[in-house]
Amino acid sequence: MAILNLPELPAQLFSFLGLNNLTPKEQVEILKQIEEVISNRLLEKLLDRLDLNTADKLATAFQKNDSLEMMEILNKAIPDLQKIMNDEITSYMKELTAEVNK
Amino acid sequence: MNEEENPYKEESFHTSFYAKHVKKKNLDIGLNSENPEKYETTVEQLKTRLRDLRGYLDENFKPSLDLSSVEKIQEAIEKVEKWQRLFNGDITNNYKGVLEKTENDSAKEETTADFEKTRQELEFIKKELEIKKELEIKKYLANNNCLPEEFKNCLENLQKFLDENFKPSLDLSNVEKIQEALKKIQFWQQLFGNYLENNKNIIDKITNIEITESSLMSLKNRLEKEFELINKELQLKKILSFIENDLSEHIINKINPNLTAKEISTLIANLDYIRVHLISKEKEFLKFADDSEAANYKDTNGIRDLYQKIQDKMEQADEQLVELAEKFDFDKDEPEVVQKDEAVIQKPVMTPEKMLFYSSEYNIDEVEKYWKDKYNNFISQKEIWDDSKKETFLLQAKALLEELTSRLGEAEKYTKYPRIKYDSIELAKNLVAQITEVITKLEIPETTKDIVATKTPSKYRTEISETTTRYNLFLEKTEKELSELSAKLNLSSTDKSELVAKIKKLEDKFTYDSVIFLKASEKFLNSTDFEKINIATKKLQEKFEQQKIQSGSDAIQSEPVSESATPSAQDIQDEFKTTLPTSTIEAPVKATEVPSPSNVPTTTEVLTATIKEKEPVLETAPPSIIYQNILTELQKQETQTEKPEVETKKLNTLMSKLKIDKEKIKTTIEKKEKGSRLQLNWIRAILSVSIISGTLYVLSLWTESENVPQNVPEADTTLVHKGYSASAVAEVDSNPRGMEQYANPPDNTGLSPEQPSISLENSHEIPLAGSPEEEKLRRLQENLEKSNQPPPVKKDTTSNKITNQGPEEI
Repeated sequence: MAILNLPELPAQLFSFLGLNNLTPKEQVEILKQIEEVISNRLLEKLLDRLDLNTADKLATAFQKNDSLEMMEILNKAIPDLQKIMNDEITSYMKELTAEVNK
Repeated sequence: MNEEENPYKEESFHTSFYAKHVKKKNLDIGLNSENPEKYETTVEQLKTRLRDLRGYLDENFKPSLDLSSVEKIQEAIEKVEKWQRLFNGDITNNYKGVLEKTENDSAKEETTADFEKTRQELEFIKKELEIKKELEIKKYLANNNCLPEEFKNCLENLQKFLDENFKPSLDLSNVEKIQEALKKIQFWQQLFGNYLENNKNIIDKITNIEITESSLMSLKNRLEKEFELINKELQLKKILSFIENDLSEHIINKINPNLTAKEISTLIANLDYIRVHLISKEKEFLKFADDSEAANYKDTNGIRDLYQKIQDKMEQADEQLVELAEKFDFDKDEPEVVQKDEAVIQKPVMTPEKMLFYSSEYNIDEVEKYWKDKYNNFISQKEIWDDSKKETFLLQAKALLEELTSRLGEAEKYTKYPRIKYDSIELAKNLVAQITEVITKLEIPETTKDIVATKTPSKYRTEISETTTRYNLFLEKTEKELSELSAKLNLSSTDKSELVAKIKKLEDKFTYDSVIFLKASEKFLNSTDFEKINIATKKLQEKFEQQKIQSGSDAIQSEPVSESATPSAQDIQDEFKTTLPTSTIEAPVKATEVPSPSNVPTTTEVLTATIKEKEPVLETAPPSIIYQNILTELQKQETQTEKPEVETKKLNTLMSKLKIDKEKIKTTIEKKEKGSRLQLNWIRAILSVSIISGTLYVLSLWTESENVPQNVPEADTTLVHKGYSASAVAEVDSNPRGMEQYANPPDNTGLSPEQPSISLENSHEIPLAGSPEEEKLRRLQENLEKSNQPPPVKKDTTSNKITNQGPEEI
């Protein structure tokens, strides 16, 4: 079994949503939009959890282009970050599925 | 007189007094002690300190103090007000705390009396100064409530005074004299404003009853106009004098037949630099010179002549330099000369005053606008381009590049404005791009193309290298300071925590400056230079780390968690005293004017601007690559089919839901963002990759759960958790033998090794009971729950493939 094959993913996803005949551009566009919504939802959640001090540290790490350090800072400030992300993604996917299959 | 001889000297007294008597930390030593004798000592110290302060006041505000003008009196008032603020603020608060804890009543009484005496003395000095100021002003404006006739006389006298003192023959032969005249006229303008304000009722009366004093009003208006014009004239003259001085000092006086190629090149660059400044003010000069109203009062011809004189001088210098340059073949000679004459080159010496003049008067937006106008104008006249215009265009472009690189030098000295440096680099990049574009379009002959395409950028790089040298000096200086502080740390234990704090502060400043410098420079320096600097910077950072370890965490922890832990304005200034040469220290009396730490922009605030510039770069970073890969792959598989109606309907539903959700969350975020000081762009940029990877990953579980046997954990979640991006994992699938390349997590994965496993907490909320989707969700939930205990990854030594092993196999 494949571990994870991203290029095949949209087809599986859209098939699941009952959308089997989307053009590649439509599929990528939808993926981007889904990501944008989830991304903003996460931001909203993080806003309440981050303080200025952490934001300053992030800014410095960003300047150093050190993404691992950035994530470490984020993880330290918000230890359940990954869980928040997972929950948010799962929850939104449920919403979408329910809406499309109404 | 040195500090030891006169302990009451303004600067030294303020600093020592603050350090010894105001810092709460020192008082806390007494307060926090269990030993009552400590209180006694502290109270005794208070008395001494108050006596010290009164001694200082006696010394500095004695009758012999020079109060011969309103300005001097005002200066003294401001000084005493600063002490009052300090006394009524920090000193009072700290001392009250100490006195409350003291049980010795007589000591308490005596100290309180001392306290009151000092407060009264400060008040008395201030009152006395204010009275003196009022009297001094009244000397000028004896008829404060005068009648219209007297009012008229007063204005006429003022007019005569102006005519007499600010006539065209006024000696404005150098910048200092112009500055003096400017100061004087501004003072009189202020007095005149006050006078009009005091006599507002008279002016209203004249306006309302329309009495025959219309001439009075015109006199008043004329005076106002004249003040404005004199001011303008003096300011323009000041600018022109600056330029003329620079021209003589840095160009004309240096021209001689023995100049080397590089010296000539530097002089041409400096001449262009000055020329751009002159051109940027051209409109302003000419507008004033052509203003007929101004010509009635002021020496507009003087401005025109001065402007013309500078232009002539520039032209002459230009010709001389071109003539001298003809001796050399720049393409061949320059590199040789650079090696031989490294030390000969002298940049224009910028005094702090000039530096401020150039940076404040000559705003970067104006430069950009000026350039863009010229550029657009040039492009629009395509059909009439000829060789001479091309040359002009290239010279302008070159001059502007020189100006920009020079601004980089300024920014290096004024590191509190990193934005200037960043803007300058961005602007220079755009300019080079635009120039290259024009050269391509113009099909300029090779030789000219070379000048811009190779020489100018190389010149620019030279400037950057010079900046680099300065940065290296900065590194050395920081290292030296660190060593000095470290040496002290080993000697003394009492002030250990203070020294550790100093090291921390030095480190913060260093890190901040380094980050700004390195990010701004990396694209412009050749890789060797950049690597060297980077290594030196990292080395120093390591030293900071070592130093922290060496100094011991106990010292850091022993820092009292009190107000004094946050550096006050004075702390910052004291800190500078230890790190900067004396000439750059502001008088300590200005300490209260230093912005409080809460007003100092945070790193995020200062750097936010740069993220805006960087956003386009981020857009083309991994997220878009992931999408691009997906699109390419999908396009390969694409077969043209028509959508059934039901699918079109579903698609529309999906799109409209996404649209609504997008808008909704966007509004929420915007609202929250307004109320927050956090800069979301940073977080957005950092999270983007993680979110895409995460979304796609969870989606994969979501979809795969449909076809997967329920009890087999399919996806290897540990890969993503260990810091591999989803795209990397995807690649593994297509290239199972290439796993070694992912031995180290790549950058921008956005996921750290310690992240917890994926979970599906809300999965009990199954949306469609009894439907096929319900079954899918149930299976997905089970699948995800299993993935919360991810199976370990084992490398199959025979096939080099990654396989999943259940716990029982371990």
